[in-house]
Amino acid sequence: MPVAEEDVPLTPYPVTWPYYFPNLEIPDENQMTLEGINLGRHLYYDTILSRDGRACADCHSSASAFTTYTSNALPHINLGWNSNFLWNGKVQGKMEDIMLFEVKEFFNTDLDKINQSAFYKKEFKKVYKADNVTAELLSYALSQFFRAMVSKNSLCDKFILHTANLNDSEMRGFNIFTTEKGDCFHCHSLGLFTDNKFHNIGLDSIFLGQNMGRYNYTGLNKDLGLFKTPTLRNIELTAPYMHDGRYTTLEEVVEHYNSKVKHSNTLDPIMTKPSKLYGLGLTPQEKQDLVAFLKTLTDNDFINNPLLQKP
Amino acid sequence: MKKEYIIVLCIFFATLLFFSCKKKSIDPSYTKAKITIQMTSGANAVIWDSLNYTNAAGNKFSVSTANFFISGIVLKSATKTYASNKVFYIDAKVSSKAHFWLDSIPPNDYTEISFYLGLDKNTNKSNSLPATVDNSNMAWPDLMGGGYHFLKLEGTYLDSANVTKGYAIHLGRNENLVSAKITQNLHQQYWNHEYKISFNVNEVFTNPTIYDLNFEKNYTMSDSLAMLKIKNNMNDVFTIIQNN
Repeated sequence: MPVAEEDVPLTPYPVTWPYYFPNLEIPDENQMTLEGINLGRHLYYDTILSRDGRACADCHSSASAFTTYTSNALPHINLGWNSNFLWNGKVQGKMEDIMLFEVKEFFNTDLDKINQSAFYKKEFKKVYKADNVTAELLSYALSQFFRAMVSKNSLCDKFILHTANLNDSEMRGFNIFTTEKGDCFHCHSLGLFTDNKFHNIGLDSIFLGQNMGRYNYTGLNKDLGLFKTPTLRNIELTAPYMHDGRYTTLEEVVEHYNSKVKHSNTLDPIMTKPSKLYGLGLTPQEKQDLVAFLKTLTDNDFINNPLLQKP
Repeated sequence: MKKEYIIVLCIFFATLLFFSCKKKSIDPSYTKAKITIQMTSGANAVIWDSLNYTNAAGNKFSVSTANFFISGIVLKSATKTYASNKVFYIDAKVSSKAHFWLDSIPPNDYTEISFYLGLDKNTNKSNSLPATVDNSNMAWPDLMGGGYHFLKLEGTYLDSANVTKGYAIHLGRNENLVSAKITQNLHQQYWNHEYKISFNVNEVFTNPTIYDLNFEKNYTMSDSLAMLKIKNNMNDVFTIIQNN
């Protein structure tokens, strides 16, 4: 006697992370299963989610650590640990909240189209025992996929776990990163390499249009020029850099912090150290070392993870 | 029928009243207390990110960030001592992170509360706290001694040329652990007793050192002397402003 789709047992998917990552909070009602992740993966790569022929993957390619050069979208890396989403933090909460935003507002998904798809009807029945696919269920399936997008196996991770060494230049860069010399660690906390907060890092002194940053969402003067701290994981692959892609190389990014920080009333206090007002004053060698360290955050296992590739 | 209905209703409400009164009249062996931290400048609650305050050195300043750990809480009375071994992360700007609960407190007329701003040396070790996002953001790099920031107090000030600059008062390292002691009747007798403790930011910049941001370090993390001055100034930042 054939087993009904909804009766097929699901395969639990235990997400793992190193000890220096925070606990990943997964809602009881959306526990991860291989089938759920796979359903989310299909949605991620499918244009059915939009009304204009776009898929998530069009702007978030695995080869570019789930962003693309042309889109300059924030990469999809370890977002399961985030609670502020998008450059200006327009959406806050858990993964299901940002995914619901993507489904309802960003893509304005045609639910009828999804419900007319035999594949998705069958898969949602199997994973969520649902006869009707709703925006909420789409957000659940996408959330499962996003929570599986865990980058944790870079050279830097192996170094922290004492299973690999950094070369001399990378090591010097690590020292710059994690001391006052570079002072990167205050916002790019070790582990996730983001503090999940908002800062003005001195890109501009006059703010117009998208450069107004979080102000565009809150309308508060104190938020002028503040943007979400992006993770530095896989930064080598995620050019161009900054919210507007103004820098195309890591060398340019380091040079910004080194000598091009612009003053404004909302400039982050961390950027105005007395001895290094509006710049770090690194030597050419130190800048090279910092870039060398940043490249140790590239995680090939992550970008090649079969679970995350196009079905 | 209507009369019976009214009688049933009366019995129902009487029962409800009886049980609710009974619950309140229980004299519990242990109580709990909610402790809320409020940033103040003098007697007034801080308005975040507002360049409205003036410290003892005459610097106009604002407060944008106040993150710190409270630990080692002890309540004392003439007959009893209650100690908590919990560590509480405080983000005074976020209401959900500006308070914490103490459980299982034996009721007593406590007359003193003491605690640390920071972590004792046994706890102040890298990765000793659960790796929450908040705790990870407070990490003090191993290359600078390891452990955690005890305090991040940040904002802006007007320098002597009237230009807005940032300050980042960061405290860490075992020698800069701040001990706070408040002597006051605490009357811990009831369920859900609430204390509101003020963190008076003005006191960070005075007593014993008048800390002028134009001349002292506006960024303390790598400067042992600056941190020591701030640590010594902080002994009197805390007071109880609500006790009920």
